[in-house]
Amino acid sequence: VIYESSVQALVIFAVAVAAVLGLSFHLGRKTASAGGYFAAHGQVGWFVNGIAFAGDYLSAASFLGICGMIAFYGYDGFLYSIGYLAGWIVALFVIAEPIRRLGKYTFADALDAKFKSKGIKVAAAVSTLVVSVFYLIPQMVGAGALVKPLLGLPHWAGVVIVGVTVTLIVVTAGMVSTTWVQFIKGSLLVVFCTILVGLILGRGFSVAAAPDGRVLGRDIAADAQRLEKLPGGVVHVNGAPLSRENQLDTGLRATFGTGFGSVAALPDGATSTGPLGPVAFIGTFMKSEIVTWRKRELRPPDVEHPTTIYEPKVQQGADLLLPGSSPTFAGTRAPELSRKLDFFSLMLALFCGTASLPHILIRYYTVKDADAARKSTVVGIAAIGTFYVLTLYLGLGAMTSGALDPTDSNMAAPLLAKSFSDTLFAVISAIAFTTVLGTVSGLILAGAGAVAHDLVGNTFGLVTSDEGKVRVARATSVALGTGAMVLGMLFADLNVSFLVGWAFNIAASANLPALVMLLFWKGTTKQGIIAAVFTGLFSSLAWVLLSAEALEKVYGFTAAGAAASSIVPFSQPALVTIPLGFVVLVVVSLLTKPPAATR
Amino acid sequence: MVDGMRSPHTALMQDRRDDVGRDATGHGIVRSDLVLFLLYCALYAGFVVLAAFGQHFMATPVVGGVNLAIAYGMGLILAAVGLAGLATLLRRGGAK
Repeated sequence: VIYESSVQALVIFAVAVAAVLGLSFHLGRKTASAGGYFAAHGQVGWFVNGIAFAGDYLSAASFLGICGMIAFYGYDGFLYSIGYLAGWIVALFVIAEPIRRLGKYTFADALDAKFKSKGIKVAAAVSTLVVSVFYLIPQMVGAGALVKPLLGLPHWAGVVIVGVTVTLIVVTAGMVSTTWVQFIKGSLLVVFCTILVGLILGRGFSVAAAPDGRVLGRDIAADAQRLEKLPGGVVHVNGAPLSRENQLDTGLRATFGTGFGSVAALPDGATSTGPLGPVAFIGTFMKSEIVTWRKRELRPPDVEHPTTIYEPKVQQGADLLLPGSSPTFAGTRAPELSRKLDFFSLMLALFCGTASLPHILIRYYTVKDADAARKSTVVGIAAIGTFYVLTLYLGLGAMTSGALDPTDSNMAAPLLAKSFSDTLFAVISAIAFTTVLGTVSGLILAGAGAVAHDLVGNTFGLVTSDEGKVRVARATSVALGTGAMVLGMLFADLNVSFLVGWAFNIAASANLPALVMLLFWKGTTKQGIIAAVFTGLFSSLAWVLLSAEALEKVYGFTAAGAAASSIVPFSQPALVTIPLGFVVLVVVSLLTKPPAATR
Repeated sequence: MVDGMRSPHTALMQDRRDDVGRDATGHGIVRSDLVLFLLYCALYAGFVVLAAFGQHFMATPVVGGVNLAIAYGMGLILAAVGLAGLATLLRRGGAK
């Protein structure tokens, strides 16, 4: 699909980015010390920190990925909303206060508070780096997805704009600017998504039909759309070259006045509902028939050129609002237990992952004490919970907006805004884009802290002065920002929520066993912690990279080839690798128990 | 436990003294927190099990034509917000 830019969108976008950068440079003049750079002097108020948690956490994955998944498949995207929020309960009740009490700037500080071991510092720093980079990929992919329709720029341009802007934010003022960027964008995102949901409820549903009464999606052969990839990068839509006048939805719009994502039938034969309340909206959706789009790939020799056919499928709303409606979670509807394991594993990873994410953990050092850490978590949960309730309406609104791009699920939310007005679209996209900036800043800062404070400073003692550590952190930020840009371009085609699911698996497997056992089992030894972090990290990483999903979507295997070649039974490792981390920690701790403890 | 009106320093000391099984490195968890945490874990586990094995239950309409899958999912989100608030209130109450 070809996207056009508008002057209005460009202006709103430029103002948002300029405001964020201006704020950073302003705050940067006051943050020369390490305490200021890594932890904002521990002086951020709990309310601001709580909303900043939301700005940090609600990123491309939540806004673009979840909305896109709900818009394409229904309920299964909402499973991510539920799991992402549930993880905050672990953060609140188990992690928040002790992590603030034990640490200074980084997660490694807390993990190492009792033992003063270089091995633990290295393990925690490596795990922070790997998790941060894995989490960076979907954020950069999301940034690319946002600029496409907003500015009419290609994917790579969005990745570069984010990479450069974020590196500037982090290099200038570290945690101080990062916190304020996250606070402002967190509040704006929740407020504007609430407005968008109000508009969705006000619009209600209407059946998409041609003037002659033919309903979109009822005639599969007539409504199917064909995309061919010819040699030399030429793309044909329905037999003619792709252009502004000949796009995937041009034919549908000419006949039905609307594009992809529509309603085929409403309860009691109605043609439109008018405004609906929040409960009636879902209730009406359940009794309606919805047109979803499925793609079918044809490869030579069956066809002359690689071809994708997009076909309408009329589904019951009630069926779309049950778990298992997407390929990702289809296993929940299978009779065999073995096919449900992937679902259990992901739900476990989401539950355990939040409290193990390095960029979330470092935010606990920006408040003055354990009590403030806890209060800010409560504020964060309220803001994030509100947003996740909204995601269901945003997703279902997009599913019936007639404005979906069937080639890119990540575009569902911005295009939904565009179906109301171009101004709203520009504002929503600019907010989402700057929220990506907030999250990416937090991630790069977490990685830079791990390198400068934990590795270069405390482990190897190469740089010990505060100024030196800040200098190293700034250099690391530039390196991480550059790396993130490259990865963002390589992984451009994956659903961002799916990628974030993997990052949660790795974070939970590497960090959670060590954190929990350190806090709750006095027999934990330093060797146990080191072994658990490395085991969890590398086992989950290897599992993810060898899964059928990775073979298909990252290395380009066909679906059948990937299923046959994969050596792991399901794609999400947490169900195996989190318990593995605990077992390794206990066994190694028992084997290395100091003599004094055996009295 | 936590009283709303005290300095950060005393708050830290009080937290440590009153927490169940917590030592100077921050071991352990406050009892009211533990109960709420386990309650939420049970709710979440119940949801995951129903989603995997109880499709026909999840399809049952519960309120205004909305099925259990949506109601339970929304309930989990609201429960997280509610429990977080409740935990803070319980801490305050426990100090008196």
